[in-house]
Amino acid sequence: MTSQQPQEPQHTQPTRIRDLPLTLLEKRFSTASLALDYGAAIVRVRSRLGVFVRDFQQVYGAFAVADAPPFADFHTEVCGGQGLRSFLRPQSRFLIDGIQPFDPFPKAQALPHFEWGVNWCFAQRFNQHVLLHAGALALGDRAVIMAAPPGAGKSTLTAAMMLRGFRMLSDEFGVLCPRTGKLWPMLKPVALKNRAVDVIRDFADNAILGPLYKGTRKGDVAHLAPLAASVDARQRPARPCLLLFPSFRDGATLNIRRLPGEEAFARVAFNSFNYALLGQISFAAVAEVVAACPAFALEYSRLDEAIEAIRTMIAESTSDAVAA
Amino acid sequence: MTRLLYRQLGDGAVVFDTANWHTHILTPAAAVIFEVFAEAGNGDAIAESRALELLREELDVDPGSPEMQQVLRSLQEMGMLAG
Repeated sequence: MTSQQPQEPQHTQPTRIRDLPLTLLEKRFSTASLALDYGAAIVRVRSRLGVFVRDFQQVYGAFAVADAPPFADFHTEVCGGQGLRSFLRPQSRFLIDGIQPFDPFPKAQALPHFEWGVNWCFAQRFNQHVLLHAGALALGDRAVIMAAPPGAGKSTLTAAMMLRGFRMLSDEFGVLCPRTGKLWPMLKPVALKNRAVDVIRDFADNAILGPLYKGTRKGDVAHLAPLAASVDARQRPARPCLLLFPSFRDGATLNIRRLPGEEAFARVAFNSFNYALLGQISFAAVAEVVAACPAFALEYSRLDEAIEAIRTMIAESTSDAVAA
Repeated sequence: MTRLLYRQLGDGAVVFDTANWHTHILTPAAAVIFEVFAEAGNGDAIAESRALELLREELDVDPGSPEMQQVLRSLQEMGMLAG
């Protein structure tokens, strides 16, 4: 009888996309043997566009290199233009299941094209969840949902919160599971626009920003890479504990105002991507969130001040829940 | 009114109509009126005259005010009022 020495558990770090030589990454893209696990969804990507692969590596650097799984929710491709035009004005095309849903973009903007393409696929097809149009971040497993109209500074605040230690679940989609009431990560790079790019660049040394794409359809855009702590927790859902409706105003002093439940419901539900489609399911899920979470409008001009206020609100909502 | 799903949120409420998938947002005042009408109707719509009487006598409000007219229109849309 032989005895085996117990082995030390191995705590190996995953190989991250930033660790791969670019040539190897290009090879994996060209054979579509690379899948992106966003948390809520898995996307398989094929591309032979060098500029896309290079930019992708910068903003998806913390994601683990995973072999293409047997199942992916979306099969996508980013490829070059067709015909004579591809020589005169190089383009990128985004394909989902071989279908091109949008007009081509300039080739240099292949990465933002891909990002918007994946958002579109998700918003159109991922109807097993209630898709709130909101950022979502967590401290531990308690999440704050932040909903705001475009231009209100939601992405900037989301980015800054991640850089100050919050776990980012998503910048764009609050992926609410109607069965469990929890939020799933849909972790993608944060698309920062115009002035927000420099704000975040100056905000934290650990901000990893991809290239600046000038003059896109949404202005000048750069993507903030999700940090490894958020990436590594992308299979961990969180329970909503706070609803926030942030708005940035130059020079504003911090102003926090409690919102009545019915107003919070209207703001969350009617800005959802698929509330109308899911009917009673989304009504019940959103009502449950609003019943469980205090809701506030938050006007701010200084990021760190807003972030500290949000930390306090989460802590208070936690103690309220314990007391209840 | 079993086709109406009512959920109180703080002092206000929200209602989902399973017949047409419309969602209605109720202010605190509208939520109180909804509950009074629902109780009076015991699951059925109530006559408009009965609704006006309830507003005046039980809730002590003026049914002719613009706010009450708005609430009544909403409740009519939900099928809470007959006729």
